[in-house]
Amino acid sequence: MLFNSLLFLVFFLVITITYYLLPHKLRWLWLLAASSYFYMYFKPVYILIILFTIIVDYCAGILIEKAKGKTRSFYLILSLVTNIGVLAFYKYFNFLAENLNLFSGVFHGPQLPLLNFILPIGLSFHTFQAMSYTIEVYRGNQPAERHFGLYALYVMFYPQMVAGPIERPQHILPQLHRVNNFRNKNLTTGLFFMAMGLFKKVVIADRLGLYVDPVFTNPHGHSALELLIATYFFAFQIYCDFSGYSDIAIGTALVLGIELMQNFNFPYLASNVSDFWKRWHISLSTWFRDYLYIPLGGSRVNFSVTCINLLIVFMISGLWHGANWKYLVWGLIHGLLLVAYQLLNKFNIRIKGFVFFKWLITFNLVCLAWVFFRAATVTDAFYILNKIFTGKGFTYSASNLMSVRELWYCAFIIIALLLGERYLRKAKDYSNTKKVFIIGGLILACYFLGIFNEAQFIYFQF
Amino acid sequence: MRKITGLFILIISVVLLVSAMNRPFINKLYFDKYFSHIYSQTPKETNWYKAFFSYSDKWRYGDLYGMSNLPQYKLELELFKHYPPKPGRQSSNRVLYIIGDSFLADKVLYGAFDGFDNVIFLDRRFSFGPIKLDSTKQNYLIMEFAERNLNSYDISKTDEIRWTTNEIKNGINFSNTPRVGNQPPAASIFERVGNIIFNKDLSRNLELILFDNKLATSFKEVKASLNYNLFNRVAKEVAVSTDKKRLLFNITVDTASLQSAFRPKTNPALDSIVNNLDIARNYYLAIGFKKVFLSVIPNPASVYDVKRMPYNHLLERVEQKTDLPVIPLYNIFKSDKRNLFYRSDSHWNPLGLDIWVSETNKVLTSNLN
Repeated sequence: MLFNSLLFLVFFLVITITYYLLPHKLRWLWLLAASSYFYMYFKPVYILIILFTIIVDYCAGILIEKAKGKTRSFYLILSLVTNIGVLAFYKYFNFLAENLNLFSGVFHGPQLPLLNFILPIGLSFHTFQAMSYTIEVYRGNQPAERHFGLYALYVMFYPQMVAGPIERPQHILPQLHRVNNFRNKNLTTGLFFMAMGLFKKVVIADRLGLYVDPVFTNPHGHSALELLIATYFFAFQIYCDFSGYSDIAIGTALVLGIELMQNFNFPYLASNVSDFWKRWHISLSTWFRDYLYIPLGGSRVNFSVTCINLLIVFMISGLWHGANWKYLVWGLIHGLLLVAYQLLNKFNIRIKGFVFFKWLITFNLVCLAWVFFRAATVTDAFYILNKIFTGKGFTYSASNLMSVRELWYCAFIIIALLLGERYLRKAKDYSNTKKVFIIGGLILACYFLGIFNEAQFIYFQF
Repeated sequence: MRKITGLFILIISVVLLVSAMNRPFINKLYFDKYFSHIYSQTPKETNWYKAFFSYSDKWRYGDLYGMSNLPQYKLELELFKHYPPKPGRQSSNRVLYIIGDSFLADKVLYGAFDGFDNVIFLDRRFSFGPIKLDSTKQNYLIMEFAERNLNSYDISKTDEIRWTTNEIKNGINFSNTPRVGNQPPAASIFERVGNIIFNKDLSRNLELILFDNKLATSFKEVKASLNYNLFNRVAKEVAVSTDKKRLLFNITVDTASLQSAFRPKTNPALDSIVNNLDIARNYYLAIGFKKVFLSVIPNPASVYDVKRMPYNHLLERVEQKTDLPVIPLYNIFKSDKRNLFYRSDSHWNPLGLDIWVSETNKVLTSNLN
């Protein structure tokens, strides 16, 4: 079910109102049923996969807590292997098989069969959320959850199940246990976040998508200027699409009395790549920091090992997004940029006083990396960059995709977003009446300027 | 008070959700809306039903208006005249079959053609079963295509030549029932429940219930005007003609579409279409038709918007290449200064149909023996 659909609106009303009408002891059951429906709407049978990992991790959590010594590690590894195994099978098997077949084909060797299925939606998100539970129980930061329903709800809570934010058990489970009474402030602030998220999705992301998607699908048919515009537009399309989703998720949960973590903090205002990763997809970058980078040694080891660790973490982070070489290259670019940043710091090379230039360089490097993320293949990405940098055909003739006037409108709304989102976000602290007016304004803008073409959220595929 | 408001919203939402899941209700609603401007309501249906449910602007002013909602193209559609049999006409013992599409669907043509007792229309868009001819009569056939449909015509993807002559002779019923071997297995109870509650059309059904009415139309028109005037953007299914006088089906102008009148058509592609027509013609002659004619109705874009891009002249090229007797229409339509197509719909208007009837009569008369 898409957040930008009419079905979600009706679903949200039914779930939220019934939730508050029910006694506390039944609410978890209602939310779990709602979350199951939300998930099963994509493909009902895939509920069995998520149920399997929930059972394994629920049992593993209790067993880890009870066990001592090496047995604890054994249960943790069992849980991690199960989760990573499911993820690897559904997400990476075909990728691995295709590449092995390619290699084997050179020597006329045997070919592995390819599996024909649709990737379960949001698999990477809820698997990572489930893994954070067993790891935190193992570390002693979180007691094992005895209530199976609440644990299942922790993994399946519908606002954030398919595209995050990837939550931690310490943050969510206590909120699911407590009695959440209806509060006007939660309702208006939640609706405000939902309206803001919808605005970003349908007014900005989906309009930019009208230009970006066909250009990246057929880069050979477009000039350098058209590709350059598509590159910058994609940076904002993916930001508005994903942060829009996160805002709707945060808002939906808040109406139910549950606070989710912030997932974006104005990433395109970052003044260096390290800063960018503190602001972009915060729940994933902190996940990798806490469960991979720090266990690998973090920055406590010598400099060269730190650099290697960074490269490993970012390549895995790239692959987390999808089973394709282009994501690996995208992760590698970010890893290399971070290594370069570490080197500058190590040798104390600083550009002082030029905040604007730091921002400009960071922003353009991030955009350059997005080309690999969005292009259909790595070859296409190199073709696009080559065409942009050689500047062949700096003319605009894609008015069948977007008129020049609409391009300027998009540019205007992007600049307005960059400068104004910070102020718009502050509206969450306004009085309820003011918020209601702002929500009304956002909804009107969504209707009159929004694109409703049933476009999925980009991050659903991950 | 808060609880009462909540309960009220909850009840409305649940009713909406259940209605959207109720396929018979949605089908009835769709049918009522589709025909609301043509047929009067049944006696059981009260005015409030008509006002709140069956009224629809989506079809009333043309299919292209219904998709684009541009108010400058909100034009009433003239009704088609009927062609009943002329009184006192002598029996000719001839029947004319027409296998066609939306251009001729729902038209009353029984008496349109001078040398024929009856006209039977079979809609190519739906499976129409084997054609069992009355062997005591002379049966003629017109294969009618809209140009956009001929563009992608592939007989192997249709049901047209599914039944052999023997199967027809052996008494296969004229029905849409698929053959026993092709019947899908009966759905289990889980599948049936799943199809209801996880129905992928729920959002569209809700839209049909909530936003296909007079009140919503005005909002849709403001939105469409805003997007058109500010960004030159219309609904993706629709294009505005270069002279801004009419709406066009986007697939007939967008060169990315196979059905575009401006997508260059290679000779092999043309040969393939002609070959498909030959296969169809041979089949129909084999099952008993005396003669088969071809009639291709031009796209409005091919007649009124050729300044947009170079036209691929598919229609004329097919007519030249095929050895089927054709009802030539393109040049007649092109040279006629009157408006022959609705400006807010993808089909011809009554005058366009009238010219087609007249030209068809000429060709049929000269081919009767």
